[in-house]
Amino acid sequence: MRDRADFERYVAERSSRLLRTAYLLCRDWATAEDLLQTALAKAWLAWRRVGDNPDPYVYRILVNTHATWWRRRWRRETPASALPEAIDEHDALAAIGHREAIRQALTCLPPRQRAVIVLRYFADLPDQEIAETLGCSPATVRSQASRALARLRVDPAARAIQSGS
Amino acid sequence: MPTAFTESELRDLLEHDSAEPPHSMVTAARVHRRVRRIRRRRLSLVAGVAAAALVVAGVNAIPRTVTAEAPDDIWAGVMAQPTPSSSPQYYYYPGQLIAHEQSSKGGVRMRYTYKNILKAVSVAVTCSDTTSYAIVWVHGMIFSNGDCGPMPVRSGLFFQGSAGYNGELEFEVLVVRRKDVAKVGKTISRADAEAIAAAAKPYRAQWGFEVTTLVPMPQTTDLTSVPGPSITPATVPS
Repeated sequence: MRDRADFERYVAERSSRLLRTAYLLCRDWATAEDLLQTALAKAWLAWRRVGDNPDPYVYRILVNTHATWWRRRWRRETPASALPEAIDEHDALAAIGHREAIRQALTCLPPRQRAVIVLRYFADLPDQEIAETLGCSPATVRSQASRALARLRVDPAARAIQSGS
Repeated sequence: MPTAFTESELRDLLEHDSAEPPHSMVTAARVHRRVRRIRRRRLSLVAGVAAAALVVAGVNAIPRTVTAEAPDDIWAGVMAQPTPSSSPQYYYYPGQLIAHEQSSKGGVRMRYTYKNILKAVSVAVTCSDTTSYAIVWVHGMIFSNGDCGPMPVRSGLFFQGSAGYNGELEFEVLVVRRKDVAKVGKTISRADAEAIAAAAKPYRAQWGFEVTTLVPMPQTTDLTSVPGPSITPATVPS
């Protein structure tokens, strides 16, 4: 049976990585701390029911809590109607501008799509686990990821070309 | 042409952007403080809901008086009862005799009209036998009904709530055989009474109808033992 010491050990080991995940969801460190504390508190309240691997459960609380907060605070974000403009990739300054544009685009993603991106490309979860975390099908995860990448102008095929070269 | 961002670059970007967390970390102690806060909030929410439920239950459970709207065909005057109410200061007691009618016509609806009656009154129908049934209307509405015998059963009539009352009272009395009434012992509607009256056939029956004033008397133990039927105007204080 999972106990308090077990929970405290989990917090000590995982809180740093979970905090970074929370930050990528909300893009604000203070909010990320608040978000993670709330998620871990909710996890502790159900700790006895959590299985051997608490990560999916905690990720799920993180994503859902963030989505709830996002709905409440949606006016704080300003979605952009225009996608970030492409720049010359050989220009160093332009490259910096390109990353900033992607950041802006990331903040403009709906919370669900942002969660898919973060869980897939930062937490390195397979689509099946992401689907379980978000409570949807793997096909939905793939379609959400596809839409998000399109908005970010990320070309999934580019990785293969890059790794193959 | 827009240049595509690679997935690898996206990973690098996410790693880079989250690489510098603040010095303050999320610790188990801080999480437990948050847990206590959540529990307090949940407890206060539950307490609030419980309190609201208690208030609702209390409102429903507290005895209260509901004034029901009287049906059109039932007389809405206040009935004077020989027993005290929950907060009585007075008994209403039959006083002076106002009118006393006698008839030998059973099965016939008799009409009596009195004027200048400004006090509460008590009415009673008495029959010489014990197999009769009487119905009394006031202004066309059923006032009282029930078995009729030598012992009068009185019903009181107050006028406080009768707006526009000008002192004139119109009574109708019908005495029929009890066996001709389907709803003996039950409240009857105006339609039931009209049906009984329509079906009634004249027969010979001795019955009387009397109207007396009602006199308020302070509640005493002596009054409760005074028998009602033998009261006459001479023996009742006015």
